[in-house]
Amino acid sequence: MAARLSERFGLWPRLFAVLAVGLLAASPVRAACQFDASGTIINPQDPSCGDVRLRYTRADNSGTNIALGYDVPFPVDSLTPVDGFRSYQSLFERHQSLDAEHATVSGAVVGQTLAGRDIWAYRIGDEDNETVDGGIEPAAMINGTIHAREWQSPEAVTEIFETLVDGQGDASFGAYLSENLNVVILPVHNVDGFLVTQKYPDLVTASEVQPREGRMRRKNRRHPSGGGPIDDDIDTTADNFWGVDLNRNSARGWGQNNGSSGNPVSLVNRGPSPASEPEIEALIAAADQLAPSARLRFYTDVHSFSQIYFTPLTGNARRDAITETLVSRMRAVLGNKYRWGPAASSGIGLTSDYFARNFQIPAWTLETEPLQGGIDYGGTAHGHSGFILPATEVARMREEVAIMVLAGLYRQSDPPRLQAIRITDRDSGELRYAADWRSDGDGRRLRRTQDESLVPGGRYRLWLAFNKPMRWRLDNGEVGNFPGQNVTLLPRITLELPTLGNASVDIPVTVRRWLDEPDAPGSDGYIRYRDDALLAEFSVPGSLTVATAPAVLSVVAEDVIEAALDGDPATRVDWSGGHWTGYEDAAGVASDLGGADCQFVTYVASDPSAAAPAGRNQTFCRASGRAPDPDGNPSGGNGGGGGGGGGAVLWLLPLFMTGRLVGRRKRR
Amino acid sequence: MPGNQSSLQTEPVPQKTVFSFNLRLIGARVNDVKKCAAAASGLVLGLAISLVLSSASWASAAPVTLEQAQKSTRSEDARRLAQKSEDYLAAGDLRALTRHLAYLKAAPELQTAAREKLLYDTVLGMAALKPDDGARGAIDELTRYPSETLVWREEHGHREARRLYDVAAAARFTARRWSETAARDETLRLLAAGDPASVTGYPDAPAPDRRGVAEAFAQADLQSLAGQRDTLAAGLEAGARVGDLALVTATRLKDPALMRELLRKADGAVAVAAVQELDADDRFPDAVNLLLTALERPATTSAAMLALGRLAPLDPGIEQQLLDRFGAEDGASAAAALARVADVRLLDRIAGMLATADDERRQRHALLALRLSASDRAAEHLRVYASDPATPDALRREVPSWLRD
Repeated sequence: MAARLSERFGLWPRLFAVLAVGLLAASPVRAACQFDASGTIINPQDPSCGDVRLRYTRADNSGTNIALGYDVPFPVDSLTPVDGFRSYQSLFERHQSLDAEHATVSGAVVGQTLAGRDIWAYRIGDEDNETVDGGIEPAAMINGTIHAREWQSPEAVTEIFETLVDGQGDASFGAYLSENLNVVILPVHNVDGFLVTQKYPDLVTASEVQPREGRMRRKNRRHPSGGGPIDDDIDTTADNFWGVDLNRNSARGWGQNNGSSGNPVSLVNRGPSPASEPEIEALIAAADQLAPSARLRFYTDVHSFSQIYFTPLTGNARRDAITETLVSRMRAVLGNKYRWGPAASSGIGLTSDYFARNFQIPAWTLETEPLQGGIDYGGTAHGHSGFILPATEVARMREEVAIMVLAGLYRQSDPPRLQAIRITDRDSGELRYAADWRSDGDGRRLRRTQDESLVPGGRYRLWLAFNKPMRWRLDNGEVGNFPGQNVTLLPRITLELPTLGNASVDIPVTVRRWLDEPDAPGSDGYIRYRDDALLAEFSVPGSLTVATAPAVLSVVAEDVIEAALDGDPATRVDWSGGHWTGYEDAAGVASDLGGADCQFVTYVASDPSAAAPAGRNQTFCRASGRAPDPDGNPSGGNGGGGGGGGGAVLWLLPLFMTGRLVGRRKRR
Repeated sequence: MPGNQSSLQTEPVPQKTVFSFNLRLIGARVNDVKKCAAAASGLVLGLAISLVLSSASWASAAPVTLEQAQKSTRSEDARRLAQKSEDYLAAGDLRALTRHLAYLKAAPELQTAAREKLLYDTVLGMAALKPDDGARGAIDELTRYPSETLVWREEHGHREARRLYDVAAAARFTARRWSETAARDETLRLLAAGDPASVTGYPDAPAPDRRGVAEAFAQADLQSLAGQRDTLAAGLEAGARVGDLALVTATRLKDPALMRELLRKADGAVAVAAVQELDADDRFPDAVNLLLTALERPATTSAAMLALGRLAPLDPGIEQQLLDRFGAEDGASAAAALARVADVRLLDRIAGMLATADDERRQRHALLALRLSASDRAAEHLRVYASDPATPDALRREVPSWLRD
């Protein structure tokens, strides 16, 4: 070849020809793409780069083959989950079927891709926008498949979708989430790109160290000039490197912090302007129309790979702390298999930057497994094998991601609160005390429907009901911890009598069991969700000599994902400005941590027909930090039989000065 | 690219969780004994990665850009040595390759990235050769090779350093591939001799051997395969995990009876793969009845319906079978299957069914079929249904949102 070239072109060209041929002969085909300092290919139109076609195989690494060390997964046509990846058409039909089959799913076209394909989002939850007790439902959003090659994402997001729908009738977690949270899911965001990857499930172009197009297309299909879509034909190689990285196109952080590129060839091309891409417009529309955005408390953008929560920190200290705690609880579900990566910059155009900073809510990029790549499953160390999860790992991966995300949805939906109690005489069966919280305008009012004294020597059964399922059941039906959580399974309950002379008397309450059968006349059970109620017992000491004295029920409990009680249910918990509002501790101090509930106050009297003592409602438990005065009189000016609220304001000043107003950072 | 200086937290190694719990919401169980083994290997790999990601802990190489790493691989020395690798591989010269590997490990003229790429490519190339003791020893030694070239990866939005050429992983792959090919060759011998040992021993064989056996079944002559057919059928009947082999055999022999057995008895994943084979091969004998068999198994119902749907235009019986599934637990797949058939007559038939169905679930499946059809005819039927006073309220509220006006 060199001889022919030199004959044609003369001496210097001859030398050049010899050198060129030598280089071409020596250099492996795969190494012909070259990179700049940012990792962007600088010679995409070079035939020895852009025109190179590579094929993924299980074991053949010869020539232009890339051995993965495991079978290359191809899309499977099945609406129901398989051990592997479903085709886009099957996934789409699955989503549509969940919408069509269930009144609690509402799908909507929220925009179109560059190529004009519909982008669908689905709202999952009961048809009203109210929580069970009349509050405005909060919302959560989950985005999937923003990067086309990340096949783990649509499967994991679809699993979350399926789990939420399947669980709606379970009288437990599923029902709770359906009735109290709107979950908006956008399962396949980058439809155009995803279809290209599925059209060529084992083919890529360019370079082994940075394969592009075909199975490894990441970006959307924007042509850098003209704005229309490039084609989806791998063989028209001139356009294989183009497109906008949708996860660098969000307005927040667009073009900042060296996190993206303006080069249309770059893998992280941010696009011509902030939120320029119709796919990003669709995501925003999905949030605004279906959630709506103002009610969002949770956002996750599901990707692969590297097994990490990449979490923007917005500088809002409370929001950042809540996010960190939430992520730590979610990570704990899988034994911290997933890492945490906080980012303190002002953003780089991620969708999580947009949601975290615009709405001050917990938001992150969730990179699913693997950690390193195919090597994690015994494969070769091909650097992009992490985007090609072995089919045998898909079912487990998506179940794990789903349960992790469901834990987060449960926690962020609402903190737990104690909403009703009953005290019944164990010997006579007579109801002595009953009270519950009822909606009252923007808040709640404590209503007593039975108010008779407890007597020394009396033996009592205590029934407590909460607003959400409070415990998890194991395979054997026993109450246990949700994976990765460490909750004291039986709450700590005490009946405190703080006004008996110089010493208060605590009556221990023995918690017997959580209730997984419904409440019925003559039979204590759960009120709405399995394990939203528990049964306990106590006895008032016979030696107690008292005319009449208030008795405060102090309840320390956590829900399944370790959130403490709202200590003052009179104020509705909500989310604003990056933190909880109306979420108080036992002292009525607003925080993001909650605390004990001491709102239910009954009384003990030697004469069972005695009336309640005056000032009973101004009795506080020890956890509130408000001790009675030395004469045994209750302290403080807490207002009325409705519990909580007004008088607590007087206590805010000293507490504010001690820095307790926003609560301590919870121990991790 | 230089960039986002996210403070990536590097933590103690995450051990893969081994737990058992009831995902009551989906009625599934996550409890896999294999995860115990995976957890152990995951721990080892995780330890390696935590060291890699904690780049401060490396005394030697700091992460570099891809271009910096690639540059050294284009040196004249690297090209020369790469050519030698190619020549030795092409010739199958194991002795030369073994010496070459030893040289590459210590070659003073090579920079680290170039060395590791050469080792990586050469080791992977050796997977296609039949090893001798020297080669085995060299590869075994390389399974502990500490690759040092780290490159920055930032496309996930956070910056991490990852190994560019993991020589140890390549060596492990090659060692495993040799086990596979040895098992393959042994199996081919057994098949030729009519010996059923490769089938009877398959369920308990280690993973590389199983791959090799499956490869042999894919390559063996049909007569040899036919000799194993009955053993496979008996194995399936007994619940032995020989589905992979049965699928290869049934497909190559075009054996409907064996295919039927594996559709009924093999693991769900194998059964789904069987449905895909039937879907792809329109000449497979008795394909329709086999797909109907697959309908009855939850793992394969949906895939079988979609495959049958493609045959529906040729067989009115199939169309009826799928319509009969409307209202059943799996009716959504039947609706999707029929929606894929671009047939106005069928759409009209579904609309007629909709008008007379008294079961809401059946109505919803019919509506789904019309909705997925995405045709003007289907949209018209939906519009008519939504405006019909006899339509149940719940559906009348929902259907308009499906229409794209």
